[in-house]
Amino acid sequence: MRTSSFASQDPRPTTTKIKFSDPKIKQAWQAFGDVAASSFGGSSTINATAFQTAGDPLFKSPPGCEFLHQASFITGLGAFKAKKAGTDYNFFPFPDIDPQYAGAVEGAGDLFGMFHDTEAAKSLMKYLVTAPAQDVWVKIGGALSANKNATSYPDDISKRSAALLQNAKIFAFDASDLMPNVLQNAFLKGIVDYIKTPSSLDQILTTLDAAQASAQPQGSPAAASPSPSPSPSS
Amino acid sequence: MDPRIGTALTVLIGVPAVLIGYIYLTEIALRALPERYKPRARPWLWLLPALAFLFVFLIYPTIGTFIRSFRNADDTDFIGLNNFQKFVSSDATLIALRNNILWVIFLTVFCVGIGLLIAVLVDRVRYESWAKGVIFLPLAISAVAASLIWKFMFDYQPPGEPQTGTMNAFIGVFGISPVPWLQIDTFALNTFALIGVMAWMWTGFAMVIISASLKSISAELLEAARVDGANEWQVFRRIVFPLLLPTIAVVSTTMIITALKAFDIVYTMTGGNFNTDVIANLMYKQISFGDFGFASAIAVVLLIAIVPIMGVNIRRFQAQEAIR
Repeated sequence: MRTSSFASQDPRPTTTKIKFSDPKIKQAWQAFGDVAASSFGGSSTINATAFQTAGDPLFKSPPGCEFLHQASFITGLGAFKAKKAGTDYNFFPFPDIDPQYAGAVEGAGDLFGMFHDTEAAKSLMKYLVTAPAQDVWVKIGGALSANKNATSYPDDISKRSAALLQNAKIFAFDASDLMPNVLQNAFLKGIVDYIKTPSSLDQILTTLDAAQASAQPQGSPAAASPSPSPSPSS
Repeated sequence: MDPRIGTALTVLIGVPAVLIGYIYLTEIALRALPERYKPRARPWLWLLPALAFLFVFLIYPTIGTFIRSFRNADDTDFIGLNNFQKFVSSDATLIALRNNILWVIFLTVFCVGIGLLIAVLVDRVRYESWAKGVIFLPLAISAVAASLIWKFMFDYQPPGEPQTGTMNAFIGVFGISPVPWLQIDTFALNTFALIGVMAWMWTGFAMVIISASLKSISAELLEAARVDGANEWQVFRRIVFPLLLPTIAVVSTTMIITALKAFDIVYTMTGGNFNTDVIANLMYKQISFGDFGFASAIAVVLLIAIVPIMGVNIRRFQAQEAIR
């Protein structure tokens, strides 16, 4: 998303026909690998740590790590839960890599689906995206709304996250959340394998190409309208 | 009133009533038969409900699985042996197959070997029941809970950090740097770590069965051997062990089947990553991918592997019954 153009062309990566072994994708993996290689504890620690507690070393003294790349929902997990936003920790948006794709935000979100096309269901869907309905949601914390009129954010961090999301120049829905199950499973395994053995990247990408080819075509994601409350990564 | 109370009452009263009614009806039906056929027909009629359940819930699905194993992912078309070809040609399944073989050999050897050792050793001590209780206890823990316990045992923190995992804290005492136990697939170390967890759970089971069999060996026999000048090792090797052999065979086959079915520990502890996958987890994954054909093919392979062992087990049971 931050190094090449397909996110700006199509925010739904599963419909993109690009292969994992494409040089652009490989380059993104390598950029990720560079960061992972110099992260807290190195590869064994990454693969031995649940994402919920990955940020805990931030709060050690002296800190085990300085930054955590994570989505806004992390504030309800791990050591973050007991800490105060703004004083104990803060956030900034992930820096742009290629200025051409500045202002890109990745997110995931809750989807509303409608199984029966009835008037009642339609009006419920219409209500769910309104500011009063979204306010109920965002007030709990951890959730953001694409609706600018929803303003009941509980703290400054959520407020700023929401502003980032709403002003994003490029928004990409988390690809790993959209993949068919078989591809998602292979992708997550590929990431774990890459962390463990970075030299096997080409082989991993070939395996992912095969998984992509074998993945069952799924119902169009358009059936579920893109998230009213996505969370930008921070 | 909660509608579930009504349902519970229906089940509590209704099911026995239906069964008694069924037996009553069979007796009425039997009246129509000539006297000499009655004793022969009665057991079959009584067995019929159980056989019907067995057919509907076991045999019918098994046949369905066999048929589905020759069909495609969506269960819409026959694709011959493709699923089985996929099974023998994919790296993932071959590693899982290798791991299952390791599981079968080493889980059985660990559980039966250590179980036998403990059963024989604690036979002579005053605190026997207490010691057996402690060793048996892990079997009462659910496999997922046991996996979580051992996840903490194998926990890894980077060198220099306080080691929260028991194993790494222990080796840290001797100045050895922490080891990411579950990630090291050299010599399948991580698979052995998982087998160790299962052995920790199931050794107690092997021990209890072997111990019970040990108690049934008559003291006179052992005394006679000792009077004849046999030393303790000879008594064990020549008398106790051969008498325990049928029991050991039954326990071994049970452990082999347990090893072939291994799933929960792998699923919970590594998710099959780092080359620790096993057949059962592979099958589960295929179901989650919606590839019912391939999942069925894996199930068929697993079933075919288990059937001969089941057969041996049943024959052993029957032989033991005959001895009694």
